[in-house]
Amino acid sequence: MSVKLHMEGVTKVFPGVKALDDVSITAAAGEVTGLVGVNGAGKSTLMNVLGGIYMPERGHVEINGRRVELRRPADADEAGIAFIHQELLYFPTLSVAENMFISRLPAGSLPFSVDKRAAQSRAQEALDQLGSAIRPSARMETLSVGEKQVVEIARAVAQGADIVIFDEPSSSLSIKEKDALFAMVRRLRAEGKAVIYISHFLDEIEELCDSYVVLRNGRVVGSGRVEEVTRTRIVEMIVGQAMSSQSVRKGRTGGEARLTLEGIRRDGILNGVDLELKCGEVLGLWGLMGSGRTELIRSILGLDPMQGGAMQLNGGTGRRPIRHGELLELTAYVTENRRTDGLFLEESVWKNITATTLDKFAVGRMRVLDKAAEERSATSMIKNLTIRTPTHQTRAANLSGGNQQKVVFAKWLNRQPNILILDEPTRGVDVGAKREIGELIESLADSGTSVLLVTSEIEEMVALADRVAVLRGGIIAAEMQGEDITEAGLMAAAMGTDAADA
Amino acid sequence: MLVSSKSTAGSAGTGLRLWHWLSANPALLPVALSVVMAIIFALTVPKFADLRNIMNIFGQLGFLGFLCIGMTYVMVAGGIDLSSYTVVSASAVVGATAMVATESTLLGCVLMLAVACTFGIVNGIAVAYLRMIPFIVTLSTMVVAEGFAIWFTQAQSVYGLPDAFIDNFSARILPVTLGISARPVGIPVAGIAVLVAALGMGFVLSRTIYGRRVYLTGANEATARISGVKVRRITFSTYVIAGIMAGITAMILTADLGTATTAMIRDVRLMDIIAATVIGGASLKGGKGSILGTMFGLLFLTMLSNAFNLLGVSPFIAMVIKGSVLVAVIGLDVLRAK
Repeated sequence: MSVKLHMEGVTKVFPGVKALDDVSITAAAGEVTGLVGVNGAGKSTLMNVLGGIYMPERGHVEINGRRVELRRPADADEAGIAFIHQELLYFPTLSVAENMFISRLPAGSLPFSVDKRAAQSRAQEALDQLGSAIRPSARMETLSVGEKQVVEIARAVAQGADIVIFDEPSSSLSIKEKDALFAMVRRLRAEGKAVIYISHFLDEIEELCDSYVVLRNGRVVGSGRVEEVTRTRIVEMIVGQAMSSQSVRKGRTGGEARLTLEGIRRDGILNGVDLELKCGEVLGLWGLMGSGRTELIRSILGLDPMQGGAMQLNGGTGRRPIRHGELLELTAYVTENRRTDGLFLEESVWKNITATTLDKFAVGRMRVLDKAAEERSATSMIKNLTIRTPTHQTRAANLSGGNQQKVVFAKWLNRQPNILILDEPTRGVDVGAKREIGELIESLADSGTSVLLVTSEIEEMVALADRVAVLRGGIIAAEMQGEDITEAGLMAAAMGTDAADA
Repeated sequence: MLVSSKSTAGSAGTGLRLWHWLSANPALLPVALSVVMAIIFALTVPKFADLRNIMNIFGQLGFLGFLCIGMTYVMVAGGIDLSSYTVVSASAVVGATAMVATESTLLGCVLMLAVACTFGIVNGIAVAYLRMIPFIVTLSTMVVAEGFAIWFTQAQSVYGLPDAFIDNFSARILPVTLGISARPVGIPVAGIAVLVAALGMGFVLSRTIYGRRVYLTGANEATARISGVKVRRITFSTYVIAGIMAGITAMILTADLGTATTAMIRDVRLMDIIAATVIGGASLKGGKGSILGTMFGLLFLTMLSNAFNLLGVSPFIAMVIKGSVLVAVIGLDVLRAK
């Protein structure tokens, strides 16, 4: 076994966070090294260091025993490192060959011309090497997701990359495509390349990888040979505690049902989701990235289409079905990304806060807004939620992430909703704000609000949820309640591993 | 995430504070520009400050003022309307033809509004409901309106309008004789009309729930939609407003010229409409702008043309200056956003 890639003591610090803390990793030639860890464990930062996008504060990278400086993406290229990204980047109207050689198209005989034939034959070579039947002249947009990924891999092969890094490559593939992918990864391994395979799915790690590395909070917490470890042990390393761990329960059991979902379908993502949200509870919606959590929420709110299913609302007047799109008017929805659809960044804090409740402030036939009342209402919200802002007239863009998020909460709480839907409510906020937001969620649930919580942060889920529904394969695959909600249990349920029998 | 944004308040110097104040009140820039220009021209350009000339400028605001109001609504909501100036001709020739045939001023005016409104509705449906790109949609309707006007009139001007119509719309009221001036100077109705419209439409945009929703839609359509704003309806309505404004412009221009033609507003004036709106604080990205700012932006441009005209300077120099000011203002907008 010869060492291909070695990272030694790599440390990368962002303001307030050590994204990588003294990380040393080795990937051998002719082996597949699995890299696992929860979101935020440091996997992407690690990739970006290898890709020449981030410069680490300490530590270095060695390839074939020689130190390399990765200052720019071009350096990584030159060093023979290639990435197969989760989100494929390509030019849809160009051919497969053109996409493969986009930055290094072979020059033709005329100035500025491209030798298309040379590009095609070289593309053909690389595709043949992978055993793929894709034609180099096909337009990129005509290919399936799996085929596009093959092109990406072929590009790495054609570049002569020795080190190929796959970033959660299977998350959007069908089973057949997944088998083809695995065959290709094995082919690369047989050719003596060093492959790093990042995945959330432990069965893939078990099936495909020779060795594994577990990252948690920016540190390597475990590594070794795959055949010498159990899945249970890996899950423990990922979440950082033994399986017997206890969680802190608040003992809210929830009242009667407030919102009932039946057989919610959406093409390829949701295959009939049944869910009941009760009064005065925090219901967690758990699942891996790409499991359809955000899609479920957007579909039931009417922001995205829904191919089937029914919704019922249990209000003061008893149960009644609600039409697609009606739920949005009745609930509060803190979106996943406050910058794209949570805030009006260029507007003042007070205008952001009153945006959902303008009707309350409109006076007379002309529906003139009572600005003084608006500002008063916003100011009291700023006080209640302790939003730290110079004045209520400050632009939302000038606030810190945590305070921006509180503005989003204020905007919705102003509506005094019965149902609160939260998608990653503490993403990108500091620890202090995170705690405050957590306390806010608890107190809302205590006062009878139904909270539907989506979060990728496992500690947050364990800390806040009274009940958890796990999305896997487009359905609610498992449900947990009270004491049963543990980090290990959540990970196991999401990855489809019954941790207990491993 | 890598860069922590620091508050610039607190340690701000006077210049910086002025900058913040300007950022918070973007309408101040065109007001200041107009005042400074007015003073400079009054001191250096003969006859500029004469009452007659001032009333001329005031009257001229009526020609583009309505279109500027419409453009402001559309741009605040995040769109753009390139078609309004040819829609003026298209609706003018239809209304004028009907007026000549029936001697009915009312019918003519209603038709002008109806035709212009139809174009607004088409633009609105295409942009708001069919999700087409505003620039391309209105560029197309601009060509459609122009072609329609030429086809409808066989490229002939429409003459023989009822006197009552011409008198009502191009009139000047409250004529006063000043000093040694031989003829009395009146206040042009077109100027008064645009002033009233600007006050009314300005109020709606800046004070009502509808106006706020227009701003929110332009500021961030996705956030507005999730916050419960019917963004499609709002976007649609701004194009209809722009259409109605074009219809009113058709009436005023037809009366002033005494005829309806296929090119009542020259294409270079489209630039003036956009420039006035942008100088007035609107952003091409939406969510910004005000009727007050736009009207002063228009005043500034009108004074510039007027003064150059009085000086006998080539109008093309005025174009060079207007274009440069526009680029400078957009540059300022980019800086302000940082």
